[in-house]
Amino acid sequence: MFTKTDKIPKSSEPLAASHLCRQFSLPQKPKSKGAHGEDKGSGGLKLIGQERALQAIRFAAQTPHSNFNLFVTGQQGFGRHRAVLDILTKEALGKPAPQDWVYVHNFTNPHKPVAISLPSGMAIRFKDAMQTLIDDLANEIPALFEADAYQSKRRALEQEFGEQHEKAFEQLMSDAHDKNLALLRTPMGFMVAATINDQPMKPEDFEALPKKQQALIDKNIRETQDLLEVLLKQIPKREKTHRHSIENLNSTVANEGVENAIKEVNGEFRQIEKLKQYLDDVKADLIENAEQFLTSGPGAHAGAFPVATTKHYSRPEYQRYSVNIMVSNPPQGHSGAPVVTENLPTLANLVGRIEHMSEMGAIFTDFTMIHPGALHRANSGYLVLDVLQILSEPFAWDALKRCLKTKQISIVSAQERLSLFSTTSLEPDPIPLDIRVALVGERIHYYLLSMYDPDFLKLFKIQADFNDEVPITPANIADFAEMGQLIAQKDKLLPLNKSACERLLIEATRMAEDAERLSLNAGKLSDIIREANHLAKIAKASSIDASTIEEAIENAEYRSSRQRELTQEAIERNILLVETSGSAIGQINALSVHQIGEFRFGRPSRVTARVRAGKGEVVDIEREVELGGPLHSKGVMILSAYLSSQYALDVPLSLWASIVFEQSYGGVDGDSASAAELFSVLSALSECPINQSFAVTGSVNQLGEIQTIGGVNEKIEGFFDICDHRGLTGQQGVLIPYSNIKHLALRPRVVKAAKAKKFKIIPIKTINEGISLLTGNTAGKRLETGSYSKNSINDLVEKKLISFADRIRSYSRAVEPVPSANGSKNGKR
Amino acid sequence: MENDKPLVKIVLGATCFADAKVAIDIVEKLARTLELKLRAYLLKEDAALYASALPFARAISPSGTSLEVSDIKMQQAYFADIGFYERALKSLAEQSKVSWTLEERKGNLDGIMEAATSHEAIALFGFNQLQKPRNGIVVLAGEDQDISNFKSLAGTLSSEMNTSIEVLRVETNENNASNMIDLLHKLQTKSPALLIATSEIIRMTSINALLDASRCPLIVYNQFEFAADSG
Repeated sequence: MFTKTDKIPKSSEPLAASHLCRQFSLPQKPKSKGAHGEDKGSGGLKLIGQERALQAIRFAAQTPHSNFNLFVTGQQGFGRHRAVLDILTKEALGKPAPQDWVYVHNFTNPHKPVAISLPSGMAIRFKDAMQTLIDDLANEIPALFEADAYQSKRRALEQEFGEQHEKAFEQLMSDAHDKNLALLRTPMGFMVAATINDQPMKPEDFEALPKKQQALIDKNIRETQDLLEVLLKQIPKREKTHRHSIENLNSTVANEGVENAIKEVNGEFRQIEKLKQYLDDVKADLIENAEQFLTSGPGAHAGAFPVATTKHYSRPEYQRYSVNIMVSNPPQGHSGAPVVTENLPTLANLVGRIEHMSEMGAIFTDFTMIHPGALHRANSGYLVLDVLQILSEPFAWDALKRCLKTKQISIVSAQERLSLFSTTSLEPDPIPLDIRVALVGERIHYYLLSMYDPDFLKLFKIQADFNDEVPITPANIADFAEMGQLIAQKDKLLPLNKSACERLLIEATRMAEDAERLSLNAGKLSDIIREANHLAKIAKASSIDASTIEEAIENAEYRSSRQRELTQEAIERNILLVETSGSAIGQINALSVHQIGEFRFGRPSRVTARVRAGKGEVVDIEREVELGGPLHSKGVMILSAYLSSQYALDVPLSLWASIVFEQSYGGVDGDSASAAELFSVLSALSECPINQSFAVTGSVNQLGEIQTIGGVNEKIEGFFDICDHRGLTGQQGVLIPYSNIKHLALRPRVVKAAKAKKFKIIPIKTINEGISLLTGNTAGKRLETGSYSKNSINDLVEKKLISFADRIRSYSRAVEPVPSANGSKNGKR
Repeated sequence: MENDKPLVKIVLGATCFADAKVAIDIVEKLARTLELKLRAYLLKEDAALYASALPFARAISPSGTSLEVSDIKMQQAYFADIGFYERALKSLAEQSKVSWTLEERKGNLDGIMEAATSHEAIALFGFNQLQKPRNGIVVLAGEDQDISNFKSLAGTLSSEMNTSIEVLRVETNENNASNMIDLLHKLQTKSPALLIATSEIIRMTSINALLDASRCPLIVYNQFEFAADSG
């Protein structure tokens, strides 16, 4: 099924080409699809090795307990969204369809719209029924009020009222006339004047009258004035009585019309408990405001259509009877629970929003301007969100948590939260929430939220952690190959032949940075297949083969490699000083990895060390100038400890050493250069030159063992490319930690050179192995005498350190102060 | 286009500003379709002045409140009303194409009618109604009188006031006084929004009698009013 040499590589010896890149050999006929019974995501793509994550998603989808919300962790391109949506969609099909929700006008408290739940599919019917009701009333109420029956009753009332007033006034006028009085209208009001022969009586004429007659006129005038006063005071009371009687008549007629019209709506919807109250409120309001149907007739707005077909319900005055559908589902038994993905989870898109309108400079809103959010749409089902998106939207995360905690959706805008909005707004009834939220993110998000948000783990109890890679097993290899084929099928690409699948497997090991594991990054693999398909089509091939895959990988690398080429060019032009031949004391080629976007490349850097007698101090220049990260500093301290514990144990470590990454102007971190740094220090101490044909990568521990590092492939390739450009000598190579052999997945150009013995990759386990290879001298073992074998590197290092100690001791004696008479010491130079 | 409106002269009479305001509102409605030349009067009725001089004189406000009246108080009230009247007319002229004059005048309403006749103008008498009228515009005309000419005036006002027009024909035989008593009685129970009468009708009764019976504004219309006049 797959091949790899069984021969165990030896340390300090160049690796055979078979160890440099794992090769795969698939059977001629691939297994049939789905042979392993693994879950497939939407589009039929197989999810390999994700059983733990899939089980977690299924559990979260099925469990009815609240707060068992899901957090899906894993890297991008690993099919997390696909898997979540696939499983949730399947689970949703088995669940009942959710209820519909509507907002209606609150007749008692208009700024608090009422939320009403209806059986699935009924919201639209209810809305239609209410529209029909208003249309019916708009036609029927005017007809009722125009009917003869109403008009005659109304006329009778008007007549009765008018007659009361007219008769009283007529009587007053008539009596006044009989008493030779006239009623005058003056700027001060009504006045009663005495007349003689229908002409006004002058004051002098009045004075000339006998006292008895004067008194009679006075009495008559006073009586008439009193009567007039009473009559005028009665007018408002009579008008009020008249108004009430008209209102009663209108109410009776309207009641009859409304009762008939609402009968149908009642029949269909009254069995819904919360609608009972609402329909009663609507009826009362319609009766109370029946005149609106008379005063807002269609008039000119009817246009070309007959009045009967006019959509009266859309008129602003009937807005309060409309039904604002927040959630509407197909009738029961048709769909199952909703699965909603919100790609832009702003606060408004999540919990809904209340819009406002401007009219004549004033801002207003009503319940018809409430819009649902993703939580409304996903209620009783599932909501899938990207965690980074929701965390980056102001107030959205807080709102989601609040809704999950309170189990209800309350619409609060950002403006309200910030108290920026002072105009009229609404407080709609909160809608009960029963939802399972699936957040999709990376592990770092999960860990940070766990650490810093006390609510997070209470609300998101289930973690579905997607594997980044799977071990290489025959089953996984077969599934992987099948996944490649399915990607091609799904995207309608050319089929992958056997060699192409094998080449993809190699790439998957490289992506996993492990020759024993396969990366599950389907996104990246899809990109390679799509590019290879493009190339194969240009070449008019019928399938995609290994060479096309190879070309696609190289093209992708080429597009991203401008920075790598600039670095290599700088080395080749000796702007960056890196030797690939000859030897030098205290100088070594270390390797580092640079990442720009998704592209990583390795490059050699010169590391130098200088030593002299001192107080046991190893100066990390990178750290001194704050260009070295903590891990780099740790590496330097470890090598310092190694020196202290390995050499000249009977004397103080009397060394001053400085180590520097030459021409490094950016930061340096990681401890993968610590072995190289130690080698350069040992070279400087032993004064044995290091072969510059080698580059070294690996970290070192206090025992002198070489430990695993990351980016081994890119590091080797980085040094290889420099050597290749200058001309491979067969002496050049890279020393790597022995434990990194299993991570090798080198590009064919390196493997080919190694196979031709033009380039060496040598694994080492210890510092002693490395220094021997680098200097060509034996490292030396400590003999029974306590010293190292003569002239070995270790011997030379120890002797140098002892000599440093002696010098320091001699110097210290030379400057030791002479005791004075009173016991104090004076320094002497 | 404004120049195309026919010019109509109106003499406006009222005994107080409350009545005048009602008349001005009617003028404003007419001014939408006509160019108006307005001669307005605030009439200080002799009877009112005599009555206010009596020791027991009292005035009753439209809301039924009784006020003590004296000569001085009455003069002050007239003075205030003429100010209101003037401001209302100024405001009207700013909004409509109306030229106006305003005078205080002593006498009675028949004197205003005479002024209208002499100026070949329509006479308009304001009347502030205590109650909302139950009917629309009532047109009073002689039995055989051709009313087609001034029906257009009634039509304009009817459409502006959103009300109906009813025409009452009256036998204008001067010897038949009972006709007039019947007419006045009919008007007492009619409660019209506006009364339009021809000068022929007025000759058979008085302005006061018509106003007392109808208790609504009155327009008295002569045949010559709508004749083209360049102003």
